[in-house]
Amino acid sequence: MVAVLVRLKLALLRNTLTRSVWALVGLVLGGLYALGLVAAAYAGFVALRLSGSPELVSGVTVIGFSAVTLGWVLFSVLVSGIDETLSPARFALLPLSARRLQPGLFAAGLLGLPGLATTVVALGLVVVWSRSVGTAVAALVAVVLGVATCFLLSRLVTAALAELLSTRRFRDIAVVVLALSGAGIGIGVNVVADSFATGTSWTGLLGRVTDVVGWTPLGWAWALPAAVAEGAWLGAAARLLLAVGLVVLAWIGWGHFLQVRLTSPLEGQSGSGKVRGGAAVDRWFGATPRGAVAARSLRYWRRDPRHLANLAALVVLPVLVVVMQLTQDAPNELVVVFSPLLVAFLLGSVLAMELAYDGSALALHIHTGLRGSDDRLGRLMAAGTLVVPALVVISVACVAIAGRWDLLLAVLSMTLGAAVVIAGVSSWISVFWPGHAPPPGANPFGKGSSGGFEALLSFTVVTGISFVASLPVLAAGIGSLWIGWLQWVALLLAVGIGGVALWLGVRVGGRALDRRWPEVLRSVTALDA
Amino acid sequence: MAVNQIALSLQGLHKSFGAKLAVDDLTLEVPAGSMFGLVGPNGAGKTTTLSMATGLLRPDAGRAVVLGADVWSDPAAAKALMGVLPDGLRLFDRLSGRELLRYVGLLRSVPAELVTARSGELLEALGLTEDADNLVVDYSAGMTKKIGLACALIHAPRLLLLDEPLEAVDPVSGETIRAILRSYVAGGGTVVLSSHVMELVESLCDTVAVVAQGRVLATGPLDEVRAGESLQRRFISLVGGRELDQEALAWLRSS
Repeated sequence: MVAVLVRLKLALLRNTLTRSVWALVGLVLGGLYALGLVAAAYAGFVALRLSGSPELVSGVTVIGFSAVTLGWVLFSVLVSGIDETLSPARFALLPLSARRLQPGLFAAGLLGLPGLATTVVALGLVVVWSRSVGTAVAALVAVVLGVATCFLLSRLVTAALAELLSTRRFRDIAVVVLALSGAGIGIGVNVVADSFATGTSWTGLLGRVTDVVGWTPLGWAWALPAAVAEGAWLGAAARLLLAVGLVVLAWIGWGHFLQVRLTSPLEGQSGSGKVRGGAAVDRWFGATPRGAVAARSLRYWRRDPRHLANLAALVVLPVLVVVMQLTQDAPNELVVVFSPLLVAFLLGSVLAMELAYDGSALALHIHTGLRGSDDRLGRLMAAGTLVVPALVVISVACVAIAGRWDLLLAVLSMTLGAAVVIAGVSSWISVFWPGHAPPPGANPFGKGSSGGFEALLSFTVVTGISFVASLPVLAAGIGSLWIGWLQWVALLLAVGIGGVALWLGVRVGGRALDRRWPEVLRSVTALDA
Repeated sequence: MAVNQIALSLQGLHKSFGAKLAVDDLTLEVPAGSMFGLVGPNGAGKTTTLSMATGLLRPDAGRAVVLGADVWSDPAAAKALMGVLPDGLRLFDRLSGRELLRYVGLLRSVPAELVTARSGELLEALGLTEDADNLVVDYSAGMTKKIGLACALIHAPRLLLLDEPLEAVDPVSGETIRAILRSYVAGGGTVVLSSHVMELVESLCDTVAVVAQGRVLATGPLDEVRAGESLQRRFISLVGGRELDQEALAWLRSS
């Protein structure tokens, strides 16, 4: 079964690569990036090995690899999504139990760039601890347990969250909890770092952080060789026990969710319930094609978990920045004041995915003969209805927290100006690289393996163009720190450049969409069979 | 007006996906006021052909003309005349049935009051009133087909292009849909529907085209095409049926 699933994964990978050039480019770039990381890591390992100080070695490796483990969990939840090529739901019709699938899915799951890179880098731990046979063996055990922990924890967390998110009742709560726990981790790290920073030497700090991290579930496995090196046999035994226990528990937990998924695939579990009201939304946008697009889009911001998660992330980000600043002894009020700009720039990646989120449903816009400009404008109207008030509230709140009311106009001009520029540019660019996304109701943490690159490309281009275009606004806004009247210039520039960007997004983007409808449909349906 | 006697004209349509030729120089004329059945085996290119006729898929060569308007050079005019029920594509399924109908109506620039009145009638006729305020994602396959059909009808088009309109629909709703389509044709509309159920096409359509491997094998009035046989037998002989070998799948009988 293991060999079958691994071969299936490789065959699927080969087929995507032969079907799409972008997938190949993405794989090559990802591979180069991973190679770079591995090379850098090994350079570090060799340096550590030569330095010889066990405190330094254990400190750096324990903290580093615990961060990698945390990264696996956070990245699979928040950023990259897990590779769903071997989604358990696809095996639902076969007479297979989770118990039989699990080893194969585990092996096939590690057989991707992140898995391979993590394993190779982790093996460096053996190099670093190669001074004695005992520590080297301990390091090898740590590598096996640690890599397994990385993978299993990320699968367990995403599976549990996906389960929560699949029922509408829990979805809203789960999104908020997820967002808040992200913020919580940031704050926690800051507080811990702060409390340690008071009056300890640098090496003492390293030792204490290592101690703490080495006793968290993230570091149990990785701290094993260090404990052996110190001769702390009791600690080593305890860590070995804990690490093995964690792997076993995560394995069982993951198996449980696999079994659930095999018997009740996530799709269609959206729960029922009548939809009421909404007449106000329809009246607000008017009974025109573009008004209809706007009203539909606004409903999707509310009913589609992917949109909802994006919205939560947009709001949490500035909160995170502000709180992190406030927990420090000397908060930088300028960082607080300008943090809403982050939201504006993240907006690009959200808006650029709109077409991809529609998937094959987009065909409706095409065969009804909807004009491209109506599609573009309608979506912008819906996003604006949500984002503009949110940005104003966030900006005013940040200005109030920092107590810099003199900067209110500058902050509003910069934030709203940049947001409008980005909205316009992404509305234009996304017509050319719409990317694709898994359908709503599928695992919200799953991502197509090749759509990622097209999406990344469009995000880079959108952010690049928007940043350059909004530079005058940003420059005038920052200049107003010294010359007050420049904030009026920032306002004028924001209105002017924002207007041009909107024209670009709606008119030019709309005309491009009119020409490219079939190609856009083909791109966004790439994931459909 | 010679042009207007042809509701849909496909001229030399051509489409290949990589090395695979899906539609090969397909030419077809659908007379106005006919109930036209497009039949063919799986993978014959029916859906690909309909996608090129509705503006969803750009043909490599050839033209598609709807009541005198070219789909690819004058899309706005052509698309306004067509009502489309695609197969295998998602709907905006996070809307309720009523919201989806309103959405399609407004996209088609139907006045809002008319949309409300018509969607009420359509939902009632198709037996969807009870579920009108449920999300389409919670609908069964047959209900999804029916709401898709309602979406195709809401702007009272002159030409209906329906891909597998009766698949997964229960017999009662199926009869309703047939009645709707018959009265639509009686009122001067034209229906093009694809199917691989010969009995359905035989009982419903007056004109048919048999398509296989991206080409038209036979087209014309139903009686001409079936030439005294049943459509099923005629279809098999045109497409080239396969006798099941006595020895084939022997293991299947042993259980």
